[in-house]
Amino acid sequence: MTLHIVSKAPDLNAALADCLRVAAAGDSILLIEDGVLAAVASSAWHAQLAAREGTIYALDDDVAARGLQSLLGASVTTVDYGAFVDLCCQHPSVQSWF
Amino acid sequence: MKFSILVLGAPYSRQSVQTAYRFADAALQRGHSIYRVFFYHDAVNTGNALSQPPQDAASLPALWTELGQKHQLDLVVCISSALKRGVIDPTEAARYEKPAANLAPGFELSGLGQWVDACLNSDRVLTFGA
Amino acid sequence: MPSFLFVCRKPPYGDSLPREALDMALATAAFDQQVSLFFTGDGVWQLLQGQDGQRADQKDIAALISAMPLYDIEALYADSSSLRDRGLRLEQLLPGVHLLEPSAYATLAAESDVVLNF
Repeated sequence: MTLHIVSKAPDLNAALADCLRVAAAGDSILLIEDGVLAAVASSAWHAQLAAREGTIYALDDDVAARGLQSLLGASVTTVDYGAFVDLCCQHPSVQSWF
Repeated sequence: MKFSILVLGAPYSRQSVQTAYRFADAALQRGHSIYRVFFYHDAVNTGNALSQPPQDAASLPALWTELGQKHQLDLVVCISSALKRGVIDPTEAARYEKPAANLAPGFELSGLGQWVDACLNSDRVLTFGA
Repeated sequence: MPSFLFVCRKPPYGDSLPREALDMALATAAFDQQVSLFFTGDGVWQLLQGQDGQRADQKDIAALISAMPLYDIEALYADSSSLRDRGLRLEQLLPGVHLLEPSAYATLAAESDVVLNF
């Protein structure tokens, strides 16, 4: 199973769209930097993420920096940097989309 | 677990140099090791000792130098990416007859072979994008 | 022999990153590693025939990709779905490029020891 790390805003850069097109069912997605905008509950991207198999994570410092804590979708799990490291250990493959 | 990290984003322009730093620090705190950090593309400016942020901002070269010295990290700046962006060590400055060198302490200039070697010798390879 | 997969998703010339990704792929092959490249999204524009990089005062990306077999890089894949989305056909691309359905990507990546996305 792969951990896909997406770091760009989904409407400004096709990183998330390109990732979702090729990701296998069950792969995990970690949203960092501007990528966390896709975790906002009202976003069409969040609906797409929530509809697929696989866990959705968002880096808590990047969420908090942007004031998004109360706006996140219910399907998103926030992680700190330590848990980010753990996710990289738990997944045999890590790929970045930016 | 043994990590290697590829950093691509320009310091002070992209968040990714800071994200990479925070990740490296967290991995080391968790007891993992970092085989090599390779600065490529615009990230080579992280090795520019002449960069001077305003007083209320962290110096990214100094942060990496400090982390590198604390954990004996191998901080490699890609030589071909660096030379064209004006990041240069004393040897290359002499070779190309440049008036000064500016590579920050703790960093070294080297080639892409160092990154290939890092990929072959690490359990996980992470890219922090441009 | 360990294998490296490079995922190229940015168009040529406007940004130097696609070029530096190809430089890394060539260097990797020069160190006797097995290299594959997968072009997806706007990265498929790197494969279009008829480029003239000199008009953008740059080295030609198509020429660089065409030289890859000289470095024993034979595995060049284009995302068939990205081509369809852009109205592109395989015949318009550089010779030696193979089509890959997005659903086959996970297998290609899983078979590779190192995957580097650009």
